[in-house]
Amino acid sequence: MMVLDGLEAKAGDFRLGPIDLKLPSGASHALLGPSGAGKSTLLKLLLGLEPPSAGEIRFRGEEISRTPVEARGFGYLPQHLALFPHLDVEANLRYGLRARGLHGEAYEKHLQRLIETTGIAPLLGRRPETLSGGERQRVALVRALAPRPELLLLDEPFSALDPALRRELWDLTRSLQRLEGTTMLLITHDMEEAFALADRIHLIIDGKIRQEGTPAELWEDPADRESARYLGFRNIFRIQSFDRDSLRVRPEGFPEELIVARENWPERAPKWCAIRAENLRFVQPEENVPNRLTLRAVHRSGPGVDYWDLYDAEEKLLLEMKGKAAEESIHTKKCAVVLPPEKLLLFF
Amino acid sequence: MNFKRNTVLAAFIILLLYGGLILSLGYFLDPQEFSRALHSSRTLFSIRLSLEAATLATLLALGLAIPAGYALSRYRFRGRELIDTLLEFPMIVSPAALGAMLLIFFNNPAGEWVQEHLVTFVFAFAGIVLAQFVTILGVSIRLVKSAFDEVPVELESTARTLGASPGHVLRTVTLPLAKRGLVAATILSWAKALGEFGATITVAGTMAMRTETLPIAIYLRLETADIPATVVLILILVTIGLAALFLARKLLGRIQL
Repeated sequence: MMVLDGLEAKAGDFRLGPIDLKLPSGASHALLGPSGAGKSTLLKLLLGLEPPSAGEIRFRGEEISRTPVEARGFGYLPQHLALFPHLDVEANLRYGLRARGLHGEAYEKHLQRLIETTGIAPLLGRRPETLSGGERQRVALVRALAPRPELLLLDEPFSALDPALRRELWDLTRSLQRLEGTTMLLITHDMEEAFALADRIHLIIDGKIRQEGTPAELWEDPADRESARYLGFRNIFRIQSFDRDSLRVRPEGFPEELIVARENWPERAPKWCAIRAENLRFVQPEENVPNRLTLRAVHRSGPGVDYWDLYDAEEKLLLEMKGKAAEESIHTKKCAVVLPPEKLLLFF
Repeated sequence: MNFKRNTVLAAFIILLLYGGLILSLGYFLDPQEFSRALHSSRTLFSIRLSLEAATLATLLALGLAIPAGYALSRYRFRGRELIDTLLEFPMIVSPAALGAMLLIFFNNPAGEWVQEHLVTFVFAFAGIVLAQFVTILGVSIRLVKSAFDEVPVELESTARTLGASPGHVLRTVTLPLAKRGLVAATILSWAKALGEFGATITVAGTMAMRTETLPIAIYLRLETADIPATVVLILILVTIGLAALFLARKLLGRIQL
């Protein structure tokens, strides 16, 4: 278990933390956040490349925030992979074993198994510059795992690959992580990557952890407006008025009030309401269901994403929609949509 | 096209200028004189003295330039900007002024103590080495720093995560990858030391068979209007210097012949 306790750091004007985080052993974690959120700074603290200005990092109960990089024993897959250009693939793979003085049959067998699983045996005598992007990824992954690290840190290593190859390597990385039982922490700005690779996601924005949970929890229930926006919500509306008793809110510009199915409504006033494009449902214009809105126009903005104008809205108001239903509605002119009350989120 | 032609023409003027100067030496080149001067013990002494002093000064400069260049390339620390600016100091100050500053230092109580108790620099071999060392140090550090700048920091940090200590990383990653740049830095520093004149003559004087390096020998022969001997010495210096520069360029992988 890795525990971050009140961890803080300064980098110029940027302040990271305080960060409190628990990374249980054997699980796959993702630190997800936009550029400038503090992901790289936090990674440097974990690796030991920078000291924290406050707080503790405990790994298996031991405080390691001042332990030198080489003594931490973490595996690291950097963004640009950092294969040593003056060494061939085999020497790259064995670098960690030699540096740590790890010899013996167990390590040799382990390395051979990694080479076999990743299919890089034919590359052993080659120089890194002669390898393709996918081959380089595999070599870097095996090099990081060869000394059997208990924690593997990945710094957006897949960002330069084409989508098909990325997915293939996500699968490979995930299966290796499970096979090895290594705790993994992926640093990424890519939501899809975090969702594909992590059991638990820690969302970081502006140097603070905003939310943590399973991918499903984050997908369904973001902690606040900024998190929602980052997690792919585009339908976020400022609330103009609300009625706590009847569970109704009226977003700015909307022709009517919306019903919200929410049991725990805090004392504070809700400021924003939001709904995922995927949760909007198309209905017949005459169908009588709550939160039904009439639509008047469609703006195509790429495959599977459409923006619709609300017919009775005071101003032009856009709803993002996705999926086959949106496609069909354009053709059949069934221009009414429901915002299911149970899918409507409030942020305070 | 005119623009390109004119700029290329300007580049060729460099060749014309230096090439013409070297070729013009041939007017006074007498084969007999060449052989005589080349085999004279005074010339041989100058060559040996120059090679020894330049090599020693280069080794001393690199001994300081490698750690200092690494620090300037890798770390941000208080005073870094000032040190970085000072690297150009020997270049903006005339070598004669630099030599004079050394002489003035050795006339201070501290300098006198050094001369009396440690090493005699003024009018001595150590003075030649010191003059060359002071002159080339800035450029050595600048070149060594550039060589380290070429090695991505990410390679070093990755090597450390793989369990290598900073010293092990330096030996197995940084130095092998900076090798070509470091060798080139050595050669260029050495060539600059070999041709050093102003600071050397000010500190070490012009004593034949004692402090007479090749550039000083050229100056002394010219002073006595011994043009054929001057030409021979210049050709020796030019040959050694150009060979070193071409070697450096080849090592940097930039040569286009």
